[in-house]
Amino acid sequence: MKKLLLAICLSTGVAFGQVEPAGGTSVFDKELPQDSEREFQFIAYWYSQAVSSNYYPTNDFLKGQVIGRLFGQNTTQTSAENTSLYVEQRLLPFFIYQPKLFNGRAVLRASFEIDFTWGDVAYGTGGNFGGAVSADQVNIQTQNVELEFIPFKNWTINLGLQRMFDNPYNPYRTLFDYQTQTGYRLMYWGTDASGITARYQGDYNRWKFGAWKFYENQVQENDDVSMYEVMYERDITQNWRWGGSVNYVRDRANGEGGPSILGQGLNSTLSEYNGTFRFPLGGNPYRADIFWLGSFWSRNVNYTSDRFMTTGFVKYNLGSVDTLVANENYAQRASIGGLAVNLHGGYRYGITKGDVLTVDFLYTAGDGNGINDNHYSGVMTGNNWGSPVSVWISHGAYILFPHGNVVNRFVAAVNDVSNLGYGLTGGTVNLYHDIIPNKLNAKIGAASAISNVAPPNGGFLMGVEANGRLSWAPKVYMNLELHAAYMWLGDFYDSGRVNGGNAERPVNPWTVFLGYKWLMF
Amino acid sequence: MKRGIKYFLAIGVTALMAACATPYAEIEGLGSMENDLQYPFEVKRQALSFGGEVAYVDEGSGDQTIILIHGLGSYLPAWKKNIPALAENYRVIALDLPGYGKSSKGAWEGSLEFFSESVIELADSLGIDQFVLGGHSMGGQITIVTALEHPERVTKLILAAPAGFETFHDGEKEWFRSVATRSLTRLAKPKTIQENVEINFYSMPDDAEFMIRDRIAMRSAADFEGYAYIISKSIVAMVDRPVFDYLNQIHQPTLVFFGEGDQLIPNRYLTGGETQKIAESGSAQIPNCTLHMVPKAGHFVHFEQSEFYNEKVKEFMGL
Repeated sequence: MKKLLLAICLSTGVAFGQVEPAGGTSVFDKELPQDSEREFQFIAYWYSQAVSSNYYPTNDFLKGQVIGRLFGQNTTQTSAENTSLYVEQRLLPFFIYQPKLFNGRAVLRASFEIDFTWGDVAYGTGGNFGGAVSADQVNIQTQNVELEFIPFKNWTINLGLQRMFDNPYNPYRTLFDYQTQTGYRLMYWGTDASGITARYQGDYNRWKFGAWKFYENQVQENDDVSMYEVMYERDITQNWRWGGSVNYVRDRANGEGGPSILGQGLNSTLSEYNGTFRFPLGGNPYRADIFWLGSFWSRNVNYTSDRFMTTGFVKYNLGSVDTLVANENYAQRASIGGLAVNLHGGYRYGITKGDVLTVDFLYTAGDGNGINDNHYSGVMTGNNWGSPVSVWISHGAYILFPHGNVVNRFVAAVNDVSNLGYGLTGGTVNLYHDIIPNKLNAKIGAASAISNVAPPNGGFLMGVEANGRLSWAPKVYMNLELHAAYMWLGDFYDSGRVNGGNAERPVNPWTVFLGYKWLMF
Repeated sequence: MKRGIKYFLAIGVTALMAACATPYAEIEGLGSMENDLQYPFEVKRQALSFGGEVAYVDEGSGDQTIILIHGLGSYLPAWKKNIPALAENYRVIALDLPGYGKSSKGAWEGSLEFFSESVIELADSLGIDQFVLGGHSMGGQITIVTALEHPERVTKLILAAPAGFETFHDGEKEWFRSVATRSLTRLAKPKTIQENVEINFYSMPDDAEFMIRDRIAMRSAADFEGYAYIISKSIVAMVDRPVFDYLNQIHQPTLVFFGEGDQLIPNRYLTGGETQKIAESGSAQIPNCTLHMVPKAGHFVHFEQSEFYNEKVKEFMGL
């Protein structure tokens, strides 16, 4: 059982420390010497990749970071003639400090992103240049700066710029891979944000309470976007976990604030970038109150109890968008009600977690007429307010749905599961095989989706993707990976509304990239 | 009407699920590991020179004695499917190492040599001059240490998924030392405990469930802190007492078992690769060694394929 300890450490994150009253032997001559957690830790994640593909932004302005929907407002297009080829690099340093005087009951965590493309610009749709020849400066983003307090056994309170994930677990004490498979799989909320969260992580049930400030805008005005959430999960059998959640976004910002010039909110250009539904509210000030009610489950996520795992959720967003009519009076412009269902399953046919067959199914309701009927029946996610906020990256696809190996470019045909408000029905199938156990893994996969609403002059089929990956782990948490994917675009992309304004269906996208990852600790 | 039925169903399903609870939630915590752990054998105790007592079982009789040593974080009931079968022909002694199971907890040294001397002392106290020594995982490494330090006492070795065949470089060893804290054991939640036990098996058998339940129940025990303490010491002990380079000095007949589905050796994070390679590289160092790669078995090879294990041990013993 020697190897278990490492697994325990990694899965519980206790290397970050959490005090608990020691029980124990109080007989004097058997008194145990006490130890304390490490006061300072440094962890870093390195990722670099050489990428080649036939899609890229066609706007000269968009260097550095490119995020959003393929063929969307970010001007990404496919090409039969041109091939992009670049190397990009990311370092995420994590600094963790636990003052000994607080005996493990307070932790400061700070992490940063240092992203750049070799010889290219670094980050953002403007500014923040660096990394080119003779330029030592590169962009450094503050990813997280947060304090964690542990007031009582099983309770943690996190304060500051922190992980905002849509699962009930403590993001700093749970493996990231586990979090991408559970709760809402980061499909709704999967980014960093400022706020305060309180979590109870009991033996058999878990609570999470969160209050977040998306945009402050004018501090003297009631023009903010805030989110509040409650999540609960319990173990209902030995292997099954089941939970529920309520989220509420109060949007009073009228689309002001947000990532650079794109704005944010229901009527912003950001919607066009991210591939969410852009509410046609014109320049009218609006107020939105949106709720998400959901239930999620998981079973045997780590494939240890037996060979079958499953996770999934049902989630419904509802609410109202009101616009200014006169004299500071607001009237309902549209009601909102959209359903999403995800079913995810896996079968471990071999010895390790690297020998699995997985399937993923997603349904999101769509709306064919927008808010012409004063009702939006599609799905809404965090992508309405940030870029990207919802990151569904555990499906195994690369182009149809976004892949998680990201530095500066995060582009996919379906960048947001609302699919421009059209909704979708789709999924993925992936077969993984450990050629050498826990060392060399091969994967082949396929993904496909139909839009639940056909765009003007287009059809329902979004496309079919085939992909593959070879991954070699020469050392602990160090991987060299070769990825490739090709997507056959469907008749959905016959529509100029969704294909970037082309007269005919664009060229099929493909990508190949060689990635090198190292989680240093 | 339809909407009403939907809501009714949703509320009904929700209420039903809310009423469900994992059976682990009903586990009663132990007051004391030493007193309250229930073993399927009559447990005896023996005071030793380290200042505490070791708990052990002494079953069967015969002209040969087998002493069995459990692995890291485990205890003597892990041999429950081997002891009765082997006791039909031999005297079988299985012990809880100091700090583990029903043995005394305390600030024990926790080195492999310390554990080895405890085994020798127990044998002395029972008047056993020579014995066959068997161990699982960390217990296998203790078996090797004992055979190297007391070759006159150990007549044969039986190693089940032994630690020590896999080697680590200095940096990895230092990393093990740094993460081997008590909180690793102390803070593990039931789900983590469950998964950590399950991953020991190719396919978790129902009759191994007691390991999970006992481990969950232990957390409330007054002496649990001592258990957490000795586990942290044991990890460092394995790192500090590598044995691979000394395997060629083991001249006793040695029987080695590895499960083909062992997910813990080699270490899946640090090393990766095939269990068979580790098994063969270690076994090849021992001059008189027989290796069995056991299909459909994980790290707890002696438990999961107990019939095969028991049969091969009996053959090895000369039955």
